[in-house]
Amino acid sequence: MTKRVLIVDDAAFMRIKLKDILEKNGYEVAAEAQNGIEAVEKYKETKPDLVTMDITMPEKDGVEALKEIKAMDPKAVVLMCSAMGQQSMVMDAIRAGAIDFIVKPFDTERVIKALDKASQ
Amino acid sequence: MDDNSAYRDLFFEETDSNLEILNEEVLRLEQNPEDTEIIDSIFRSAHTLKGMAATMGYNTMAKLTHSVENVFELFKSKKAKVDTETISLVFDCLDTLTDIVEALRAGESDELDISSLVLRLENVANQNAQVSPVKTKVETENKGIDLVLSNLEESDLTVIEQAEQTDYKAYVITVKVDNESFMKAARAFLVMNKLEQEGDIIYTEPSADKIEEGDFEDYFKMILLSKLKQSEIKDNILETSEIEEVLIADFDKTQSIKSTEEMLVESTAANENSKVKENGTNQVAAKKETPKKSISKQTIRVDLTRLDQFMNLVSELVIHRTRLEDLSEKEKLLELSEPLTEVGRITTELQELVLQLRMQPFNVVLQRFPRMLRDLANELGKEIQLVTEGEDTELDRTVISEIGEPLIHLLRNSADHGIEMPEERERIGKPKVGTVKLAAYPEGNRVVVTLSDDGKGLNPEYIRASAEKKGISTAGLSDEEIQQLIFHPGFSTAAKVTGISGRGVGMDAVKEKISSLNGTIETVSEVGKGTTFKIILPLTLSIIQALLVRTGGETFALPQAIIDKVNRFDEEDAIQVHQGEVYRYKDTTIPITRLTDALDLEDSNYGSPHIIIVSIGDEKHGLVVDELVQQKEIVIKKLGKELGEMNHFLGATIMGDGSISLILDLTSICKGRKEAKQ
Repeated sequence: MTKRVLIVDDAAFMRIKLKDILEKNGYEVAAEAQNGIEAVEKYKETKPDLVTMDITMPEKDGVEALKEIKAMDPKAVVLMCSAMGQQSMVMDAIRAGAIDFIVKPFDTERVIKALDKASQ
Repeated sequence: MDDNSAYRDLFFEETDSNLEILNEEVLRLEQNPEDTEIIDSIFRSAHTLKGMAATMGYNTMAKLTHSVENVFELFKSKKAKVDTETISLVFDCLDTLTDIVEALRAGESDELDISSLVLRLENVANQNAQVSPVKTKVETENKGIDLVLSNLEESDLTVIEQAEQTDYKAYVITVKVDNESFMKAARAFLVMNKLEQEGDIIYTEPSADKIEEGDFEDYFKMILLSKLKQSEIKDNILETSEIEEVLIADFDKTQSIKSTEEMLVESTAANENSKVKENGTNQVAAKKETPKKSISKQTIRVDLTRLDQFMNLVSELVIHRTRLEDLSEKEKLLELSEPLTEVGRITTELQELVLQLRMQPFNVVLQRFPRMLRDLANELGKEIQLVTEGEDTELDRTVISEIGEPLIHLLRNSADHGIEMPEERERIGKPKVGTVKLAAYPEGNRVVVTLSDDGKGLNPEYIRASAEKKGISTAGLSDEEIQQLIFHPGFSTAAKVTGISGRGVGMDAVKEKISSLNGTIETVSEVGKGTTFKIILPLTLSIIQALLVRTGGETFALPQAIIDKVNRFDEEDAIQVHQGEVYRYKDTTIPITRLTDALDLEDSNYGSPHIIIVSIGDEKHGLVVDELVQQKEIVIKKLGKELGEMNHFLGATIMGDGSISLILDLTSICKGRKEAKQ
């Protein structure tokens, strides 16, 4: 069955890039969100199988959004997307229950590998 | 690189807006170097820029933004000062970035010479920090990995032996991270975090803090105690992406340790190294603290003492307004009355405003709890979720900063003594995951904070037994009264003293702290259902309800919150015992303090004295005063440092007629009596 993914990133550019990668590799994009608040709402609405979550975002950052999603649905599968130099935030995210993380810039092969493993 | 041409337009659009934000915010930063919100916003924009440039394959641009970001990181962690020189450098970089973007837009290459800028940026970074905050990829050669450990200590072996006597098995595991992987440390952390859910990691190589810093080549080793099978553990590790290889074997003392000589040399070197690193870790931890808020709200930070000063000035204004009103009344200056009414209205508004300025949402306290409870739960092997409510409820800053500590204590108690082990909970038909709920809501001019758990509740039987063992009398107490005994000094029900709570000083310290904030705490508990603590706090500490009394010709103020009852007092009511005087109150006797004695005032032999019954912690005291004056809302003014020795007073307040009244510190006055007598 095709896995449905919620993409969360404040840069539209990143979202489109990621969407492109996902759709070319057999994933379906359930929804997109551009900040943490939207992410939590969209998660409730669409109940995706996977979430890719950017860390630095306005309004509510990815770690906060992750915590809320996890509180709502402890089984949520959330992958963090991080740029270099955000190690401490990535670790916070892992503590909060992120299943894995991808480091930007996105490399198609790495992204897909991480998603495949996470969705097993 | 993938073909990115389709995203070009979007890239330029977002880049332009981010560059614009950067230019504006850096300018603001120069004026408000301390404002962390500006820095956060700058940081976000720079970060987005870097990510987009790297993804598009514009390497020069990515490299420059990366270097600029390093400098922002230093600003953020307060390792570098925001000075004119650095800001100018940042602006130079922004200009160059704009040039690069323009060149790219025109379809030219982005190969501008940025080496001198990067060098200058690196200089700033190097001057200010030994540790480069953003690590770039470290090239490592492809070495074979093994399962030999070099720093094992005798104590580790003891732990392993003990564990093996139970169902646990000890495994030596070596994990090799893909050497192309960024953020190896977080990768390692992820692996270890997953393993810790199914067992205990008792040893790592290199040491845990080094791994957390990313200070290892492409592999790390550990000893894991777990009940799982080798293959299960291996699968578990391989679930994480970018893990290249995993070796796992049963722990074998002889094979896993290097010869002692080698071990010695290596371990000293490692120790020295880890000391240096420890400093690094602290700095990293410190920079995480910067709070994040939405950028749209414009705020400035103000020193709290200035707000206090503001408050003081406003209340003095109120006093002089009252005096003016008195004068205009006396002299029949009718023309004055209208402007005076206006002045009155404005001063009241001013007073309300400054009180509001000091308010902070309860959320400020709550932030650190989820993490704390999670760690606690792990430590205790319990499953606990934290539910919070009323995060927006506002409290005075002073209350906010003081309430955290007692709440932590209560939380710890709930987790340690309240919530049962998961198996126990399932057995008695409760959800496996325990719930601790922390809520705050306003009630009139007070705020109520409740902390409840769905644990085993306070069992009066245990408390009674424990109290009697400690020599606390429980005769004739109802179950509810017995439950309140947990606030009794020197009481703890935990049969076993744990590191988390149970030193027996906790609950009465909590109560004392809350009393010192003019608040009260009570508990409602049902055996098997859970416990609720209800804390009632004043909205602010600087304005309190007070009772004004007169003794020896002077007027004093008493905080209303601790007054239990006020009675008329006849000399016959005082019963002389060998320790001093006592008073019969509610079937018990309480010690009496005469204010004239306590403060060395002249005995005024006033005709109708009163006794004020006050609660101090769990004890009641009677305070004899000459006369009651009135009940009034007063503004507390702190006594200056010069008067710091005057420990019988909380502060002073200025009355409507301009005179000054001292506010009594009843804890100190009544305790003083006890100590003097002992």
